[in-house]
Amino acid sequence: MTDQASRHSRRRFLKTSAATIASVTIVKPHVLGGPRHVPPSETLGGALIGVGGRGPGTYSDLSHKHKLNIVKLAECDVKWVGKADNKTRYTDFRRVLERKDIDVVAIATPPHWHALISIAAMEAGKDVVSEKPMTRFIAEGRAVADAEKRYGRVYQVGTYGRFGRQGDAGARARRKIMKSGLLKDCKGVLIMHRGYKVKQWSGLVNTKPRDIPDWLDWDMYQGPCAMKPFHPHRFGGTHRGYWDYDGGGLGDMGQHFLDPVTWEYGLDHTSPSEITPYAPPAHPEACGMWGWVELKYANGFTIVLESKEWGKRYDRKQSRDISINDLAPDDRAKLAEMPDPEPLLGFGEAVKARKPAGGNAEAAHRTVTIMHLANLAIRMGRKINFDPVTEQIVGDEEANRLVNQPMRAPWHL
Amino acid sequence: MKKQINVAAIVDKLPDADRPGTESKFTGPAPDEAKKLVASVLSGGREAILELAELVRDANGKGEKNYKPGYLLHAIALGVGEKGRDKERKVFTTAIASLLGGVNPPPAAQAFLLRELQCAGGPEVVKAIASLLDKPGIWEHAVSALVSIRTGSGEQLRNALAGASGRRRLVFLQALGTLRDVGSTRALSEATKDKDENTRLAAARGLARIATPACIEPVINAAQKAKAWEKIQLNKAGLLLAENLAAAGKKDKAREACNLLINVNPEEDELYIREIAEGIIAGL
Repeated sequence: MTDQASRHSRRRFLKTSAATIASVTIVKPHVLGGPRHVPPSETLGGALIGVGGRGPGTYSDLSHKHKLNIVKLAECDVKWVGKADNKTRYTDFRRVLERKDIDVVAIATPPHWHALISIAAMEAGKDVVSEKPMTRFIAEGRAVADAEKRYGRVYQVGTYGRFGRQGDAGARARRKIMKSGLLKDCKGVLIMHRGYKVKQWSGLVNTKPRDIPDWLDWDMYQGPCAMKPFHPHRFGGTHRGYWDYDGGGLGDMGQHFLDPVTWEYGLDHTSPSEITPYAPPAHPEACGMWGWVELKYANGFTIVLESKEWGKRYDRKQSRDISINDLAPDDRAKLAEMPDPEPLLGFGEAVKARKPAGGNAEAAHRTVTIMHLANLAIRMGRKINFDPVTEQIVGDEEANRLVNQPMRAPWHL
Repeated sequence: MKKQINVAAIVDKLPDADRPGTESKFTGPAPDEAKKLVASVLSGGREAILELAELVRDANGKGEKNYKPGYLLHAIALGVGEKGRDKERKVFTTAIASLLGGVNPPPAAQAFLLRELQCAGGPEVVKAIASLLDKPGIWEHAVSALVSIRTGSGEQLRNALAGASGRRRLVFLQALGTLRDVGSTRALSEATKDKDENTRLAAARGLARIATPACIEPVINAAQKAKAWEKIQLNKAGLLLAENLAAAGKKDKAREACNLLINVNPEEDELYIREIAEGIIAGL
C-alpha cells in the first residue's frame, strides 16, 4: 500500500461542497436544537481567535470554503497588549466568547490553546472551526468531543483530507470493508513516510531566557502550560518544537496526514492499542528526532509513521493493503448488500443542518490520538499499550501522566 | 556496594548539540547507547544521581550551556519508570527530592527537578514536595507534581490550603478539585463565594467533579448570581455535576441539580442550557 494522503485536491473539495450546498436558511446556532426556538437569521456573527500565521486563512475558509454568510465581529490575539479596544480587538478570548452576537468561532492559536478555547466556545453556544492539531494531549480531545456532544455544537478540525479521500472509489471500498465487521483478521499495513519536518520543528535545548516584549501577554500565551521563561523560539511558529505547546513535526503534520487514513480505514471510533517507537531519548522540553513508530490496532491493522530523518529504516513489516480478496466469498456477497459510506458534511453544511461535520470532534480526536500516542511512545522511549475504550495507557503510570497533564490555574478541562 | 563512577565523564559521552555553545537543536544518541549511559549512572546509586542532578544548575534559568546533564537525568527518570524497576525509581526520586528546598540548586534548577518528579515521582516523595508549597518560584511546579502523583497529595494540599491566599489559594483549590478530594468539599463550597472570579470557578469545577449531594447548593447558588463568562462556566459546572451524580447512581439528586439549573437559566439565549438539563433528566 502506498501513502495516498493527497489524492484529491482542496479545489475538488471546494467544488464538491459548493455543489451540494443549497440555498439553505441559516439559523443562529445557539438557538437551534428544538421546537421552541426563535426565528432564523441569514447572517452569522463570527470571531477569529489567534490572528497570526494560519489565522486569516482559517477565518476566510468560513465564507469561502464553508459558504457561510458571516460577518467578522471580533478578533483576539495575545500580541495586542496596548492595542486592543475590547470592542472588536481583544487580548482575552473569554471576552469574545461571552458576546451573544457571535455564533461561529475560528481558532488559530498555537495548539496548547485549541482544546480549551474550542470547549469554552461550545459551552457558550458557538460552533467551532479549530486549526490542527486538535489538541495537545489525549484527555483534551476526549473533553472536546464530550463538549461537542453535550452542547450539540458543530465542530470541525482545520484539515480536510478526508473530504477529498471520500471521492476515491478504492478508499470508499476499503472503508466499507473495514466498517463491515466482516474482516476478522486484518493484515493491512500502511507505512507513511511523508514530510514530517522533524528537524525543522525541533526545539532548542539550551536557550537563554529573554525579556518579554511589551506587546505580548506572555502569561496568557503560556496559558495552561507550566510557566517558563520567555524565549522567541517558543513563539511564532517555532513553538512547534516544544512539548508545552505542540508535538514537533509530527504535531504539525500528523493530523493532516492521518485525517484521510482514519476515514478510509474506518478508524474514527477507536485507537491503536500497541505502539512501538524507535527514537533517541526525548528531551524534557524540546521536541526532537525520531525514526519510526509502529501503531497496531486491536483488529491487526497497522500504521507505521517513518521520518526518514533519523536512525535505521523501519523493517519489521511490509506494506500490505486490504482488499475485497481478504474476505471469504460469502462475506463478499454480504458486503455488496451493505450501504456505501455516507457522504461527509462540510462545516457550512453541518452548521445549517445541525448535524456533525465530517471532521467532527470524535473523529478528529481519534485521528490526533494516533499522533499523540506516537509522540507519547517517542517521549517514553518504550512500547506502550493503550486501551481505546478507557483511553488510558495500560500498566505504565509514567506514560499515563502524559495522557492527562496538569494545567496551570485558572485553566482546566 | 555501589561502584565509584565518574558522572561527568558519562555525561560527556552524550553527543554535542548541533551547534555547541550556542542556542541549538540536538540529535540525541541511539537508544541502546543511551540505555548504557543511564545504566552507568544508576550503577553508582544515590550518590551518582545526586552528582548528576547537581550538574543541572541553570536549566531554564540563566541559560544552560550544556544540555547534557538535564537530558540524561530525564532519560533516567523515564528509564526507572519502566515496569519492574520500582526500587530504582524510588532511589532516583528520593535522591532528587533531597536536593529541593534550599538555596541551592537555584530555583530554576529546582523547578526542573520538580518536573522530573512530576514524571517519575510516587507517594514516597509527596511529603518532600509538599514542603515546597510556600517556596517562591517553585511552588506551582510542586503542585503539578502532586497532582500527577495523586496518591497522598490531597491531604497535603488541603493542609497547605489553610494558610493560603491569592494565587496560591486558587491553585490549591483547583488541584484539590482535579484530585476529586472529597475532604475539600467544605473548603470548595466556601470558595464559591470568594471575591475572585477564577477562585469561584475553580471551586465550582471541583465540586462538579466531586459530585456529592452537598455540592449541588453551592454550585447552583453561584450560577444564580453569575453573569457573562462566569455564568457560562458555572452552567458547565452544574451540568457536569448533574452528569456525575447520575453516573454515580444518584438520580434524584441529578434531577434536582438539573431542575435548579433550569430555574437559574430563564433567558431566551439560555435555552440551550435548559435543553441540555432536560436531556439529562430524560436520560435518568
